[in-house]
Amino acid sequence: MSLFRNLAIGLRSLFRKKQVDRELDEELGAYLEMEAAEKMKQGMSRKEAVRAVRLERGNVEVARETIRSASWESVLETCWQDLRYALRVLRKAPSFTSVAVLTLALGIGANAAIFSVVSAVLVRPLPIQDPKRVVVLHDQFPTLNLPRTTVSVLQFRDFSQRTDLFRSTAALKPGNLTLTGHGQALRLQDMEVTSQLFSLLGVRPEFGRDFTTRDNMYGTQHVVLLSHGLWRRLFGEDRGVVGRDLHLDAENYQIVGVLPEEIEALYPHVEIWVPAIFTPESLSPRYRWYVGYSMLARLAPGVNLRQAQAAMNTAAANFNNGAFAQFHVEVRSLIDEQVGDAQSPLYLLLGAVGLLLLIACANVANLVMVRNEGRVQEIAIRSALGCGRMRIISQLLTESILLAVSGGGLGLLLAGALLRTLVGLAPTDLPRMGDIHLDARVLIWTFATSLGASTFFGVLPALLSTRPQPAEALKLGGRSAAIGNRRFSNGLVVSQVALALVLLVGSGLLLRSFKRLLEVNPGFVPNNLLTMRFSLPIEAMNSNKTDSSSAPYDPARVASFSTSLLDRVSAVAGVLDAAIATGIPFASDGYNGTFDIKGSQVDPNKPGPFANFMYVTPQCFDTMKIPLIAGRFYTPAEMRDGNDLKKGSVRIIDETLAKRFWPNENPIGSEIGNKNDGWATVIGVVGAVHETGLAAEAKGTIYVPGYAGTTLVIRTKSNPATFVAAVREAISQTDSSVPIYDVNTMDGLLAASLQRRKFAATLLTLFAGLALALASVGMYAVLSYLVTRRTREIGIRIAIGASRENVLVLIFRYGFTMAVSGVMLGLGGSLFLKPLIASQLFGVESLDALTMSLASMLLVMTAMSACLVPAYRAARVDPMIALRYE
Amino acid sequence: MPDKPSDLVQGTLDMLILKTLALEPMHGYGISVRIEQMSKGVFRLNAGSLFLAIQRLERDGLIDGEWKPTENNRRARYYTLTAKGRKRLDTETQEWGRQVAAIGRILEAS
Repeated sequence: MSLFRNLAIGLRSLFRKKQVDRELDEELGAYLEMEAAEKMKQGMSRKEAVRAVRLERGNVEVARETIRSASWESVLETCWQDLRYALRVLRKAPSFTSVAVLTLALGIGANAAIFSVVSAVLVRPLPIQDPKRVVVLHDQFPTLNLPRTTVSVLQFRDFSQRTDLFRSTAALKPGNLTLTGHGQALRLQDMEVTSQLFSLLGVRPEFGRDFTTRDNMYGTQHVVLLSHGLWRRLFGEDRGVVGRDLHLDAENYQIVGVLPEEIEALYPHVEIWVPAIFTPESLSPRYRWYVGYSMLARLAPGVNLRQAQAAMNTAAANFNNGAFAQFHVEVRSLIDEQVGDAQSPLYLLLGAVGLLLLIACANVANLVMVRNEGRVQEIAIRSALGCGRMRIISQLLTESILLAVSGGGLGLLLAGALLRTLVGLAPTDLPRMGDIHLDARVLIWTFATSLGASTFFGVLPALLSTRPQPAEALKLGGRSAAIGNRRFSNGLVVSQVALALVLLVGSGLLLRSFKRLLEVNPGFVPNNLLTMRFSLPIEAMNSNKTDSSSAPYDPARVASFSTSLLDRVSAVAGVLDAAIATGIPFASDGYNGTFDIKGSQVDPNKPGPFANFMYVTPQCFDTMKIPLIAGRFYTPAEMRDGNDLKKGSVRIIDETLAKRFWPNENPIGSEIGNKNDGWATVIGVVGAVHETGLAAEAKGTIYVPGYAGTTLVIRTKSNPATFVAAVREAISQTDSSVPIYDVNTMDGLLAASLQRRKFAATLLTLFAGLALALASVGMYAVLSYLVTRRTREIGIRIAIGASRENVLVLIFRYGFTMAVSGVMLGLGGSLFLKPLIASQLFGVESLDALTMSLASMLLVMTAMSACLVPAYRAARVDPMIALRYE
Repeated sequence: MPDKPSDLVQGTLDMLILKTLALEPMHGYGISVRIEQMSKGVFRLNAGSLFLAIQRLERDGLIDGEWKPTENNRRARYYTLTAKGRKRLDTETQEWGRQVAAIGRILEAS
């Protein structure tokens, strides 16, 4: 009630200020009049009485001010006054204001944009229950260049028995299924999973039922769960789909339910989920090292990741005794797995924009301070007139906050634009990039940074500039060069230069790494190569899958389909060569597996020689231009069905394997395979291909003559992109029901594999450029202010005989000293780059002398050019004018 | 002038003004004269602190102000005690009595 009344009275005095003031005056006047009248009754003259009243009751003016300033609305009024004054002051200095606002906007905008990316990719939680307790298990074979692989079925079963470590476990394996009976044949991305997966993640089907252990058993009815997206696409969100059949790879699958949309944040590409069915064969010890399943586990209560890792280390050690290759099991949190390699470049960029914001703040602090120093006289006059120090500081702070808020607002606009560019520029494999937007958290972050910045650059200069005594400042006519201020602003310039150098060195290192990477020979000739994937025609699928040992397709039909496909494609005008392979570099590799070398002693229970297996048609080497190093290529007559190791089978190995397993001998003629399936002869050695990316070492590949692949590789005469239509036509002539997907040029795949590095390098270079620009603006501002302040001194120097050159040198030396001290400090700061940047480098040390010296030179040169204008102005000082000045 | 007027104990001015207005509505000068008379000249009020207190009391809803002509044909703002003000005066008087008694006991004991 009284709050309301207080508010009402306050508002009245705000909006009807004149009347309220008049009333207060009248009331005070009446009071004094009455007292004076009383005194006059006692015999005083009117003059005496008025004087006595003033003595006894105090000055009316003071009383009025006391009464007014006690109310809440007067605080508001003061702020409003400060704000209007600040607006006027800033408008009167447009160049200062625009530079300061723009500087802040750049710093804040870059921060908001990068923070949005970081928040979407790294901070936002996974849409599952307690994601921190979910881990992924990987096999690791460090001596075989296999830092992280999937696990085998047998391993999955073994690890799942560790209920002391894992509350529940699940295995997953991605694949493709061809859907027929719904218009044109559709290729669907499927995920084979064990039934515990969804309960492990804490995800329930939106409707219908979850998989049960029975679904995972061999020979039961095939069932599927649909993704929300596929359900919408195929059935228009019809809830009656449960119980219906889908025709997938020529078999009937019953739909048992639909999964909620949230899971698509974790598995964005999966359209259909099927139960994993382990064949009895895959559970035999022979297949112990046939990795292929991703394994998820939820940690048992009370077990942490480190304990689980320690236990798995012990378990893995049993296999390492006398083994050919070292074997480890890695326990990694699902969050790390998801975000993975995206983490370090994003943290690097976050660090970079942090530095940029620091530079921007230092710049604005400097601008504000240099300006306030010019206002010493104004401030002195105000305090001489009785303005309190707090009042002056609050005035200056208001100006700073106004700058920060405008900078923050403009920065947010800038962030929106930058973010759109970023999303376009970002590598497509950056997880969860799809739902990046400026969200509330970013708004809070921006506001916090701009407010933090405003207190940083508002309070410090305000404290420094209100320090001088008014008398002193008035006496010196506003030219009291406050040494402390000068030192502080020089320090700011030096630290700006230092921070800019750190960014320059960082971006230089990334650019040099990128250049080194482009120089890497991929092992084949990527230009004029077209690749696409196809699904095998339904007729080639083996409908009789109950036979456990057979492949899931009819080998003879696949072979005849593949040869006629290759014939048709090769006949297209402008196509030089065509081949079919199980995988292509930078996109999908073949599969990993162990093999034995005939005559060497290897325990089948321990990890043996390991390789990447590629089933390719004979033309593959010519098509990709993989060079032959020794021996010969295989001929079409030597093509066999994939797993067939009958007499006369041949293999080609790459250089990596040859060096690793036949270090001092000729591998040609050796027999590889295993004693159960038989042996094949090595007939040739080819160059190694960087299959997983230019930066990664080649794993070592065994090329198997066979038609198991579904990737078409085509060498064209000219731009491969122009051949897509003709090749599609040729394929549909072979079999019109075959879906074609993942059409790419090899150049495109190569570029995509470099996208992430390019993204980081581009952005860091952009930020370094901005930092350089900001630092030179800072240097320019300080120097030109210095020249203005020292005009008289310079005039005297010239008058007593200093030459123009002397003056130029004077200013340049001042700037040079600052630049060099900044560079020195920055070189020291670059030492701290290492932990952030080391994982992003390729072929360059984090303390690269060339990069560091180039960056230093660039910075010093830019700083010197920032000195040019002030130095020129100083040299042109006319001594007569300078001495008369003031 | 008699002895130098004493400063008021912190927070007691509000109570004194409420007490003065409990008898009859009065303008600012009237209040200060009444307080001076009743305290036998011990408390002399500065115009600033008097009107500051009046402003505060009015905003808290303890008194109401109204412009009225005075006996010698001027205009002055007359203040009336509200019901809320009366209640506050009662509780403050009681509280004051308790405190004075307590302080008195402490001073006598030593």
